Amino acid sequence: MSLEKIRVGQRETVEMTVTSQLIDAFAALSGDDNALHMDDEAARQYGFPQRVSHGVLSLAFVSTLIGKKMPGAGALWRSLKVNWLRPVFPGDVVLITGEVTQISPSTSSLAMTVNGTNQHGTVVFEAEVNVGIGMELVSASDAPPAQRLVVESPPALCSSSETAPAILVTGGSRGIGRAIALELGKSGHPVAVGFHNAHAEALSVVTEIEAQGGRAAAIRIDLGAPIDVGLLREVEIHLGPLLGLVHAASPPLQNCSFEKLDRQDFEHYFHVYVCGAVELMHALYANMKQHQFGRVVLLGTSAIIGTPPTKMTAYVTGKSAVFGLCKGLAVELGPIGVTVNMISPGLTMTDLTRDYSPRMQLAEAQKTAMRRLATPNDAASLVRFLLSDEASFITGANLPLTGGAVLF
Amino acid sequence: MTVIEQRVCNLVSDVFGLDPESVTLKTSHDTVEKWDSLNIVHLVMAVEAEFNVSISPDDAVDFLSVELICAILAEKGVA
Repeated sequence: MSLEKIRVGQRETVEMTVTSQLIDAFAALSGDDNALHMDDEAARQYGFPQRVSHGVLSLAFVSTLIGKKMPGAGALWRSLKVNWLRPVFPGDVVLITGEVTQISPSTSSLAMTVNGTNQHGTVVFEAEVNVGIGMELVSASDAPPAQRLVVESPPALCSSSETAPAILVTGGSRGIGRAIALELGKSGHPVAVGFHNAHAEALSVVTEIEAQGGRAAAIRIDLGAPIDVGLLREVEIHLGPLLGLVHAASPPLQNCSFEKLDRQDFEHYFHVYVCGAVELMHALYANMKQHQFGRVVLLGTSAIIGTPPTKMTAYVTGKSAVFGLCKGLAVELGPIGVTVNMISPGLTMTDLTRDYSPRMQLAEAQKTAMRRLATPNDAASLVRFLLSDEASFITGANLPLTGGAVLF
Repeated sequence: MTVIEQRVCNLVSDVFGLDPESVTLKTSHDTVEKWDSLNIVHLVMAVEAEFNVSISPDDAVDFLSVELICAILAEKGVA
């Protein structure tokens, strides 16, 4: 059943008739031949009148409900929370009812409450499930005409397990951006791995995502020049509409006194951090507006919270401007369902910070309450959260990722 | 543990009155109750005498753990 035909409040049922033969078959299938399930006398020693059905046997019928009725074809059961309230015995007839409580078109999924009630009207279990709905593959005759590919990784087949929106990660070939791309790929997002010069590294990220069953493509993006929107459209043929942007690209960090900086130093950071994000958002805006959904995370730095370090004025200025962009976009795009946030990591050891000596790393770690430096995976986890449904009410925020080194 | 690291551990053990066996690279102001500003002054003086180096006020600020002290000494060419 496609998502468009499902409504909140809709119900479906299946009936489970529990017999001794069914319990025996489940024990043989699962290997769980605990005497409580297999023998009446053993069950009475635990206070039950007779042998008890396996709790998980009921879940097998929940699977039937999901796979055959709600939503049926294309269903992919993603998560489960269950409380078994009463034992189920041979001879019981359990009516299992699922009711849709939430529909999420952006992630092509639904949530249901499921409960089982026996012939006496007693509720024997309660559960909450989240179910994805896959899309049927497009047949060859319906596919768009072949186009020149500049996305150089071999395209993977569309997987019914991926219903999370496609995300563009700039700077996705290395460091924090790479960790973010891999984490999002693992979480089910198709990922466009943006790179400037690190082509081989970007393809490596794509390969790693695909090896884990995800979908990805590498895309060259020059943030110092007008964005080639055609490349984005080609990526979308393979990954689906890009409904998210993680802007993690960065030029090398300058450690330079102000007297040696000139206008071009400031402009370079501004072009990459701010103008690049603006152009990419312009390119993605139509999709986001159409879907009434979007997720944007801009990479900041803890250097813009409180007192910045010396000799990094151009970098701090650029990143501070990114925060302005974050807030401006958040209030303007919120009405169309787009959240825009920023994360500001403290010192994170990547190739951009490889010049930090062991002493500097240890000293910086001592300044954090958690007594360690940030890792790229710390940033990746936070970004994954900000892209999730659970973060749908967080926007315009700059979240420090400093282990407590910088506090508001 | 290198010879230098062991010597630093011995100094820390001596200054803070710790069992030498209990002092490691991870011993720090988090794990030693007496690791306060007064005892840091004693530790700095002990390190200067032991290794014939000069510890600046900026260096002293980072006298927070055995491994940090070793990293400071490494930067000063004590290895």
